[in-house]
This record gives sequence, structure tokens and C-alpha cells, in this order.
Amino acid sequence: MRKSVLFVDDDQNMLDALRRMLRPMAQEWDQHFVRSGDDALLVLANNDVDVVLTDMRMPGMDGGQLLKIIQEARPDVVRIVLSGHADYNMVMRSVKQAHQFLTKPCSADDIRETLERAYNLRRILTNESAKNIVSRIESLPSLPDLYLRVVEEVQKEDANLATVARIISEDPAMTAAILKMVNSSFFGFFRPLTNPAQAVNLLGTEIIKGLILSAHLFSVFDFSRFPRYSMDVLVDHSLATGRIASAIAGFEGMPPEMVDECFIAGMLHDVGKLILASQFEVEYLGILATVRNENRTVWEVEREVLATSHAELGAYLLGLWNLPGAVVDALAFHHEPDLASRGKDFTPLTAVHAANALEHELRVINADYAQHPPDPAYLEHMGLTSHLPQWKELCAAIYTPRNGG
Amino acid sequence: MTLPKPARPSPAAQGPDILLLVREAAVLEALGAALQGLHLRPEKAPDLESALARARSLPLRLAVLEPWEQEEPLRCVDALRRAARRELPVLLLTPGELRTAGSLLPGRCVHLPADTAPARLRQALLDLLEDGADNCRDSEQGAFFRSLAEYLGGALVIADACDGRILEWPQRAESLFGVAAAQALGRPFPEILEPLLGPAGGFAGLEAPENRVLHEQATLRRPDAAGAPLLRSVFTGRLGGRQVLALYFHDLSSHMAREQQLGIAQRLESIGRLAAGIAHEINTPIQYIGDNIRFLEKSYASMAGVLREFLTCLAGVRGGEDPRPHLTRIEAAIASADLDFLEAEIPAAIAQSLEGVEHVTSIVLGMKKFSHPEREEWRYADLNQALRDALLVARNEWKYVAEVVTDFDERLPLVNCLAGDLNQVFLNIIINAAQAVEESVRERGGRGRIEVGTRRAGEWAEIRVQDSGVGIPAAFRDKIFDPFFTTKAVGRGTGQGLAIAHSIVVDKHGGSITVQSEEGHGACFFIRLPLGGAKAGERP
Repeated sequence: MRKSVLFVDDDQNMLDALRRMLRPMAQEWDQHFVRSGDDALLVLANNDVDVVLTDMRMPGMDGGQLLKIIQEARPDVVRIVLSGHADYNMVMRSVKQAHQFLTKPCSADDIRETLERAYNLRRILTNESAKNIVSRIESLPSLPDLYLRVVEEVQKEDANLATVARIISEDPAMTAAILKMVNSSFFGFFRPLTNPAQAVNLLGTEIIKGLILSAHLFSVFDFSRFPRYSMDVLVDHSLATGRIASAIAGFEGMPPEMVDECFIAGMLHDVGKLILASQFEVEYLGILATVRNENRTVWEVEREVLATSHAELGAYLLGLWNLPGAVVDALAFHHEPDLASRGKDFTPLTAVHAANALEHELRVINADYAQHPPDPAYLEHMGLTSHLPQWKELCAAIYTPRNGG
Repeated sequence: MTLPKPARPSPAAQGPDILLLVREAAVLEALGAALQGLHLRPEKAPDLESALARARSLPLRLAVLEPWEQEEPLRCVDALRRAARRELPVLLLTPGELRTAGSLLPGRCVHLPADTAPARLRQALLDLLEDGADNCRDSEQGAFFRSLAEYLGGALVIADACDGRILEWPQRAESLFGVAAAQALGRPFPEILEPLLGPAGGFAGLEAPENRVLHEQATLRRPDAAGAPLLRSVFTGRLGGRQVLALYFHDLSSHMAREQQLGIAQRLESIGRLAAGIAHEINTPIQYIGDNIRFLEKSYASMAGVLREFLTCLAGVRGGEDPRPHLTRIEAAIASADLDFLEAEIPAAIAQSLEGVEHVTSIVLGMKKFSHPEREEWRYADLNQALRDALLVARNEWKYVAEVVTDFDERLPLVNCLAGDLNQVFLNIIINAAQAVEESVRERGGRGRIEVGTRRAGEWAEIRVQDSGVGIPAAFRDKIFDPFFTTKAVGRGTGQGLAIAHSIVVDKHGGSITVQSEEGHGACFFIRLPLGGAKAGERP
């Protein structure tokens, strides 16, 4: 099947120039160019479209309204805003409907890369119905008390950015949402950015306030229906995995950017569980019961019931949100690292796979749950087997288990 | 390091320095308590005669008088001071309320009821002594009113209503007019003020009925400074037994500067609001121009490849080679160059890029008309062009919500005006129309309409801006030109736009600005400007 992209812009000159510039891609990509939201919906009704790139300000239906309709009617389509810097307020209105933001002007290479990445996400998540559900997600649920604290802080007259950054970097959902924003070219930062505190500082107080209070970038979910499942424990595990992953990367002599990526990949490796808890509640409660009764790993049961697991779900969402590819890969393959490319380079996947397993060893969430140590074959392939004892020492040094509820 | 203390003569070695002319024992006792520990050497005089004698011979610092009923208190003070040959500070103690109405209490004289408590007496004595060096120590009320005038920021000059002689010339007057009190006091005020203020510095126009305040604006022309606008307020009343004029002068320069600043701020505000839209207007063509140039770069490379094959072929065939292999290569080069596509697209890419460049140029030119916000200058301007510029600069405000129709009278004469200010007016009215349309479109959907027209109406140029927006409710129609009146959501303007427009059109140009509207059915603004260009103050 051919790949297909739809461009929406009210300026014909703009569309013509895009068409000329993207001509070399025409062999692989069907390209549709339309001048209004109504025309865009017509194209979507009659064609398979993988990605839509839309301008924000247009007469009649604007980009935000168009994306909202596509989000409901055609959730499988990847939604990208391609807009001028000046449309700040418009972009704020669409932060939840859009998966990604591109800023005009941007090069053919940027557009091509964005389209290819969006298309390639398909290989991560093959379950079509799950894909539709994940594509519709506007935000991930945060820990209620962290959410309240961050809202309280930004509502203050003299909101302290450092405090806001600290709270956000304790919560995987908020961290993911902020990285989605800061990695969009709309704000004009160097990509990729993986340090949440730095991201908060770059966005600045006013944008952070706007994102949290007006755009409602964060949300909370009622987790009280998960009796044996504690979100606190999940968040603790995520934070600890992030710390261990970055410690391992540091120990292996990785550059600071890689250490940051390892932290963020560890921090976010289980966001798929947040998706399951908030979007697949019934199935997930059943999965957790099976895990308890049959003493199996969570992801194996997930795959049996849903034909996918939290690893793929989380990776797909963060891929849609344009987080760095290495982070997305680390999420997707953190249980089965040998399924990823067979290179021997140390990647965030390496760190997260090991950190996740080591953290589980140190923390016993449930004595009945099956353990899953680091994959010996993978470590052997990477030539890291001999490092494992030292990694364990690292873990013991930085890990202070908290008694999760 | 310690300074040597000045030698202090012992009290006993000195004669009396405070004179008490007091007839009641209770009062004397209270004074004794009040003077306790003050290092003063009081002496009691038995009657006015001996008190005057003592005042003549002793270097007194102070006198306390409690006059007999038959004695006129102020005359006693006067007599005492004449005896002392100077303005001796006096504490006047009187039974109950001393009636001072109709008389001017002399300087450095405080009066208190005879039964005042010692603590208050002591305070009054200390105040009088402390101000010994200051010649114009006043009664409490006097001080109050003077500090009030001071606080209000103006100069309060008191003059005799009959002969105009200046009775008071405060510090503020000295600095405002550059005339020292010594030069001013006692001279008729027109002598001082007419050279500085013109007619407003004289008696002209002061025949106001008593107890009415007259306000008038005047210009202060000091030889050493630029002309400053002044507000002169005149109050006629009685003070100290005579008819006086209270002339209050307030310097308006900072006030006027602030008003001007507000006008500039409003202009900057609308420019700021437009800046985002203009950035978008410029960014879009830049984006497609850039894309087109990159396309042309690649296209040129492809076409150059085809051309090279042709040249090779030409050279080869001329050299007697078989043309057929050349033709095959040329055909392959043409196919890989996508020549049909290039032939169709290259001219279009060039035409659209030029179109984009023109668009950016016209926006930048339009913007230039709105820079120099501080310059005010009368000149003849083409109002049609000014309206076109305003429409262009505000394009991003209306293009998503409305269709704009213009109906300009191309024979409209040039109008003598403050062109920069009028640009601002047109911009404000057009943005206002665009916002009204946007609001109505948000509810109804679709697109609205804005009509901008000009015509000549006798000796007037008339500008009409009509919109299909939400209209103005009847209740607001009178208020829309008031400063800070706004029905817009916060962040959509301070509500200054129409007020500024009104001030520019009516006050500066002697024109008129009116609105017709029906709620829900749009609004139509009419601006009329005199073709001759009447300046402020010369209204037709």
C-alpha cells in the first residue's frame, strides 16, 4: 500500500511550493493538497491517508477544528500542525489535538523525515483498534497529588519555575507532555530535548501557565478502581528505573545527552501502563488478575489479551508525540531488546532494559509476580555480561526503596 | 573625635527671656508646669504698661499674653511687637473662643484658650521657640493650607484684590516663575505675571463673583525655558479682614506629556497586536519563496544535465558520430529530469515567488507609514492611500473572517491633516470592524463583509467603514468613544482605540466621527474631515 499525506493550507502559493519541493517523494507518497478544512474532510472520506499536515489559521474551519474532527472520525491519521511562529495562541488551542507541530518555514528534508517517522510508527503497533485508541489520547493521567501541586504552583502570582520543573519531573505523564511540547519545532528549540527541568525553563513561566491552565495539557485519572495496583508504585518504579538507567549510561562512559536520554527513557518506559489503566480499564483489570493468579509477567498476559503490550502502546504514543527515536525504541523493546536492531552500540534501550530488570529485582511489588532478569543472550550479544555485577552495585548505591502502597 | 561643646552660659547669669502677662493664677500655674525644665527664665509683668517697657529693654525670645477683656488681643500683640521692634513670637491666651473672623492672625503668633492643659501649652511654646529663625511661622490652619497647595503640586499666590499687591509668594511660585519672594512681595501681581503669562497674568477676566473659582489655561513663557502649559485657577475671598485673590497655578506639562504618552502607547499597542499578524503575513510568502528557490535550484541541476547531453550530442554528431546512441541518452536524461513537470512548474514557481516578494514589499511599505509614532506634522495626504495601507497592515485581522470591499472616490482631494494620527484612526476603526465581524462569524459561521469608502461631501472628506459584525447595543452607543470603555474580552485591547480616534478626529482636526448601528446587524462609522484641514482651536 502506498503512503499518503494530506496538506491543508488556505494559501495556494504555499501548497504549490510544497508540491514542487516534495516532488521527489511523489513515487513513494501520494500527496493531496487542499485549501480548506471541508476539502480536507472530503479527501479523508475517499482516500487512505496516513498523515495530515495542516495550517492553523484558515477562513471557515481552522486547523484546530479540523484536527478535532479528524481525531474523532479518523483517529488512525497522524495529526501534525504546520504553522507560522505567529500563531502562538492558535497552537495553544490545539496542543491536545495535534500530535506534532512543525513551524514554517521548514525544509523538504524536515517534512520528509517527519512523514517517514510517523509512517514507520505503524510497525511498532500493529493492533489497529489499539492504535485508534492511542491516537485519540490527548493527555496521560498524572498522579493526583502531583497534579494538584503543579496547578497550585502555577496559579500563584509569583509561580516558581524551579518548583514547577521539580514537580513535573517527578511525574511520567507530565514529563512526557512537556517533552512533546518542547520537542515540537513550534517553540524553536534545538531538538531533541530530553531533560524535563530544562524543558520547563526553556518554555518559561507564561507558556507553562498557558499549557497547564488554559490548554489543560495535564490530566488526572481516578485510579481507585485498581485495588492491587498502585499508581504510586508505578511512578516510583519509573523514577528509579530512570535513575538507574542514567547511572548505567554514566558508568559506561556515555556523553551527557545519552545519559539524559537514558533517564527519560527509563522514566517513561511504562507510560503504556498509564494508557492501559485509563483507556483499557476492564481489560487491564482482567490482565492484572490473570498475572496474579497464574504468576506470569504482565506484558506476556497483555499480549495474549490485547494482542499488544504496554511497551508498544507507550512507544506508539511517544512516537506520535515526536519524542527522540532512541527513547521510543527503548520503550517499545524494553522487554525484548533482541527484537530491536542487532547493532552492538550502547543505546537507551540497553540501559532501560537492564535498569527495569534490576529495579524489579530490588523492589518486590508483589511477591507472587514473576521476575524477569536482564536478558542474558542480549547482554552477551552486547558484550556487557561482565558489567552486570558492577551495574548491580550501582543500583544498590542509588536505590532507596520506598514502601509503595 | 569629639567636638568641644560650646560654652553654655548658666541660666542664672542671664536676664529673663520670656515675658508673661497673665492675669489668672490658674493660668500662671499651668504655664509654670508647661515651662518646667525648659531652661527658660520667665518674668511676670503686672500690666501691659510694664510689659511693653520690658519688651523695649530685654532681648526676649517669647511673650505669653492673656489680655484683659477690655483690651483688643491683636492690638496688644501689635503693641508688644512695636515695643520690641521686631516680630516677637507671641502665645496668645484668650477666654474661650477668640473670634478671629475678619482679622488676619499675624505671623509667629499662636492663640490658645486660657484653660489649655500644660502639655499643649508646652508644645505651643516649643513650636514658637523652635521657629525663632523662621520668619513666616504660621497658625496651624495656614500651615495646613499651604502644605495642601504644596501637595497638590501648584503655586498658591495670594494678592490684595483691590490693588493686586502680592501678599504671599511661596517657594513653588519662585521656582515656577523664576522670581524670588523678595522681588515679588508687595508688588502688584500683573507687574510680575503679565510678562510671563500675557493677559492671563493680569486682572483681565477676574471680575468673577465672590466664592467662584475660575479656571483658565495659559502658557508660561520664561526667557530661560520653553513655553509650558499652565492651569490658572482664581478664587476671590476674604482673608485677614481684606478682599484677596487666591491665584493657583498648576504646571500642566507633565500631564500633557502623559496624555501624549498614552496616545503613543495606544498606537504601539495596536502595532504590537498587528505585529504577530504581520509576522504571519510575511512568513507565509517567505516559506513558499524559499521552497520555490530550492525547487529552482534542483530543477536547474536537472535541466543542466539534459542540456549537457544535448551539447555532447551536438559535438559528437558534428564529429561524424552516429546520432542514435546520443538520442537514447538524451531521452533518458529527459525522462529522469521530469522535464514536462519542470516546464510547467518553473514559470509558475518564478511568478508566484515574485508575487510573494511584492506582497512582502507592500506590507513593509505599509508598516513604514505606522512607524515614527511620535511625529506630529500637518501635511496634505491621500486618504484613499492611507485607508489602503491600513487595510494592508491589518490584513491578518480581517482576511480569515471577512471579505473587504473598497469604494474610493478617486477624485477626493488631498486633505491637510496629521497623517500619522489619521493612519492610527483608520487602523483602529478597521481592527474594530474586523473584531466585530469575527465575533459574529464565530456564532453564525461563514464570512462577513467590511466596506470601506470615501467621498466628498461639500467641504468635507467623508470616510465610511461599514461592517456586518455584531453591532453596538443602543446602551453602549454613547459610550464607545469614552476612554477605557470596552466590551472586548481582556487581552483584546484597552478600550482606547475609539477614544483616541475621537480625540484625533474631533479635537485635532475639527472633524466629526459618528456611528450608526443596530445590534446584531453591523455598524457603520462615518468620519468627516474638513478639506481645508482645520487645526485645533480653529474649528469651523
